[in-house]
Amino acid sequence: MAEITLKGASMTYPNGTKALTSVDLTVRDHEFLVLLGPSGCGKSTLLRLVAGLEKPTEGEVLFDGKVVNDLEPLKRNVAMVFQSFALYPHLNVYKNMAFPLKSMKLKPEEIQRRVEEAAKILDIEHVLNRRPRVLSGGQRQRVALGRAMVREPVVFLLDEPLSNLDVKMRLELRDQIVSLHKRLGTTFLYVTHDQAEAMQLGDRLAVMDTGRIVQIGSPQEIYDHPNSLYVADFIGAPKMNFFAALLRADGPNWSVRLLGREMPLPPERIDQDAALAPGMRVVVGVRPEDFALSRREDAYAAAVGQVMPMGATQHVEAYVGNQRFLVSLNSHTPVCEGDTLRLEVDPHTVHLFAAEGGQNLLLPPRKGGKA
Amino acid sequence: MTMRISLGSKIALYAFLVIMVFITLVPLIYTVSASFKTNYEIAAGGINLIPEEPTFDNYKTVWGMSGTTIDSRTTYADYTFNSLKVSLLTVLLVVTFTSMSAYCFQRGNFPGRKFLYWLFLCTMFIGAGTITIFPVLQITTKLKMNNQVGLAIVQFATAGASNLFLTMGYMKTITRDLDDAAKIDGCSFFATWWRIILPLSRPILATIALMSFQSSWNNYLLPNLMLAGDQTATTLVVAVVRLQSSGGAGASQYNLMMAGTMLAMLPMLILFLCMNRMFVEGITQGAVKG
Amino acid sequence: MRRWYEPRRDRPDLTREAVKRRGFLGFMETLWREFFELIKLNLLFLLACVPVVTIPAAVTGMCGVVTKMARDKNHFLWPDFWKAFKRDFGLSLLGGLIYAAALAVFSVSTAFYYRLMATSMFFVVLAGFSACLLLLALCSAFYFFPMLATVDLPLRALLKNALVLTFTNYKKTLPALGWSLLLLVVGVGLLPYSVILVLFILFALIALVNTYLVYPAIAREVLGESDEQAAKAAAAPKEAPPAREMRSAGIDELVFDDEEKGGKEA
Repeated sequence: MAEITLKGASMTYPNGTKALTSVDLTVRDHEFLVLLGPSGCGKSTLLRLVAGLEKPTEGEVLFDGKVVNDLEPLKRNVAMVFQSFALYPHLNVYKNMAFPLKSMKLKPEEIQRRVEEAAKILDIEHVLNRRPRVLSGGQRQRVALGRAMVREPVVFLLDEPLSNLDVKMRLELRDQIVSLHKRLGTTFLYVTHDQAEAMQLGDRLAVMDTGRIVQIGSPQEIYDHPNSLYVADFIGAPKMNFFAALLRADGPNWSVRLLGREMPLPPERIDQDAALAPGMRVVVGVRPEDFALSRREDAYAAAVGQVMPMGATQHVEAYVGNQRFLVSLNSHTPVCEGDTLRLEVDPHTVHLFAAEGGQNLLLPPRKGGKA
Repeated sequence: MTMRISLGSKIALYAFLVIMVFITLVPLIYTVSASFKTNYEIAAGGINLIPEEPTFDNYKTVWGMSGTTIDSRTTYADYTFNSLKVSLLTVLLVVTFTSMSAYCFQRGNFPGRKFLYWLFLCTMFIGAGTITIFPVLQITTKLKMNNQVGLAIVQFATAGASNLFLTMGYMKTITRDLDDAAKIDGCSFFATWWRIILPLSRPILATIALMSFQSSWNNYLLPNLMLAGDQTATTLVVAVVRLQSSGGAGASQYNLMMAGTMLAMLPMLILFLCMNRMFVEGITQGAVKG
Repeated sequence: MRRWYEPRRDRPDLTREAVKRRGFLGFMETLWREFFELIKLNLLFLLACVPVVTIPAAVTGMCGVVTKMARDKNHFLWPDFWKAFKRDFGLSLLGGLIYAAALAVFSVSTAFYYRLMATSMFFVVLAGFSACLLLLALCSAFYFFPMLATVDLPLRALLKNALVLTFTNYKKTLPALGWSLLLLVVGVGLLPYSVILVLFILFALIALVNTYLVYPAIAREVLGESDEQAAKAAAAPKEAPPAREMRSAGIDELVFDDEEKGGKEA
């Protein structure tokens, strides 16, 4: 169990690509931290820095306060699970799992005890004498997990381990990983580009963009209050609706023109430190589920385009003028193409981003503190 | 991807293949059968594939027979062992050093790597069997290396580059993830090679070993020249050729020559049969359950 | 191009039932999987037999490895061989001497009575009897050495067990004898030409065939393991509940009240 810290870590590859730019991150002991971001944002590089497969060109990697930049992976006692499983194909499952233990020069009895225990937990006891090539994808990933587990490492590093599996196995293994974390209590550092997976698995989420960490927080925090346009666009399915607008000043209050009507912004949400200027270009973000049907006179009148039933909800394509957006309604509401919906939005759930820079200009809806 | 071939084309194809096989195999079959015949029967001519009086005498004679007019002490058994020694040594050198250097070139990162690689590329185009024979002989004689060990070293060196590229190409297909996993599991550069890359390269190393063994066993020019100083060290192929051209006791004894040729071929045949199984293990993709 | 070791993604899970294949097919699977290991084991065995006095220990060592193969458990070639070789060196030497003596005595007596067979019926019976004793000694060796490699018992108990099992497990003993003799005849009889076979695989193969047929009996009777026990252990509640999706009972897990009471619908 260890606390992992990255201080100002930067990574530039020999061919010039800057993978990470001055990253500061602390993974707390026992926590499950998910690094989320699209391909190429540097999350795998960050993982490899922690693992010891690469050395940062600048900055430091610390385990429990000790600098480990020059320490090799075995001595750091990290274990890694790869997207492609990376099982040694010429060894059977038992020898695969015993491989790191042989490097650690443990006694054969101890190796046997650890391997059999891990195999029992992961339900792969019956294939211990088989080679990886006859196993299913889910079983292979479990063998990879077993190989990581037997080392009793201080941190588990998982690099998109579920991306190569089909949907059913992905769900099974997701639960297995969560129960493993509960059982072992080790620090988990998990990398993925699938935001649904990230939301389900993580105690904390770190969203990354081109070599920087853009936001860290619990999944719910990030969902409720994305601190930038990038994060707001990335998190949430279906995606958030964005409307271009200009900021207007009404005396001490601010308002924006949304879908043809003025919407005053609640004063308690205005961030006093944000540089707001009248006439500033802003992007208003409204999640599809934040649109509600309304009976009020001043509700937005939206023409309905396509309706997509999704089981419990339905996604409705709506138009106001030639402004197109998505609304998520309960599937029991009768809607069909060509109808007119009367919608309203609670200004407390609205997000406001600066057009240049993309940062969130409002405070989170419930509490008064900053994100 | 199978194409539908019309019946006529199929017949033509098969006929062609049968003829080719026939042409290739008939001399071999004749050799085999002739090696069991007496000289009288061979000289009588005709194509009898099954000898009328099959006999093992040829083999016994050849095996125990001393060499050519040059040296009456060494027998064909000795020659066979010589060939075996040299070939096995060559194979050992080739496999060890090729796998090591291919790994270093593929996965290593050291200054001068590109330059050395380019150098190897150049040497591949210089056919070592003919152009460089004179310099090689000069060097080895001066270094007192014109013995069996020296021969093995020279054979290994001259085959170097193409084997290296084959192995490098194969190692390129071994994903780097395995390297990373091995590194995390505590393997140094050398340990990764020994425990992971080498076992996985078995198919290509088997191929290289087979090719090197074959070329070394069948090599005539180099052993002939390099081992000219020591007659007891001659390899089998050279001895068989000498038998034919010596004009001495063996000149018109075709039966003995046939038997000798069979003896020279046999180890290669056995080797192919054994290695074939290793290739099969390498090639079956999940066809075996469990 | 997909390499020989690269896995295919579209395989289903390898279930416990699929792994438990027994019988002839199971043996062929094991043979195919462990083929090169058998070759290495044979060479190791021959090497270990070179100082003649170590022959019984070498047999025990080989059995130590082969029992693991037969049980479909992971084995490490040299460590397991050496462990079985070293640990019971004295016992295996004693056992080996006893068996060598028994085999010698019985084969001599068989030959003796065989020569006298023409004279009277009595000798035919005696010859047959000593031939049976010879075969009995041979078969009990099939049980003795694997037991020696896997179980910790004093010599007398081992010999007794071996003899008892030879009879009670006759259904497996006879095929074991048959196959071993066949392999031996093929290997040794064709000797000048089958030198590669003998050198590389014969002894290990015989050991594997024997152990494969014979070991389940040893496990069952001597060690007390059994299929029922193994099934019970597998069905026993594990420490952590197995991972399952966040939902109520699945279709297969539903329990109706009337089923619990054991009553049937009228």
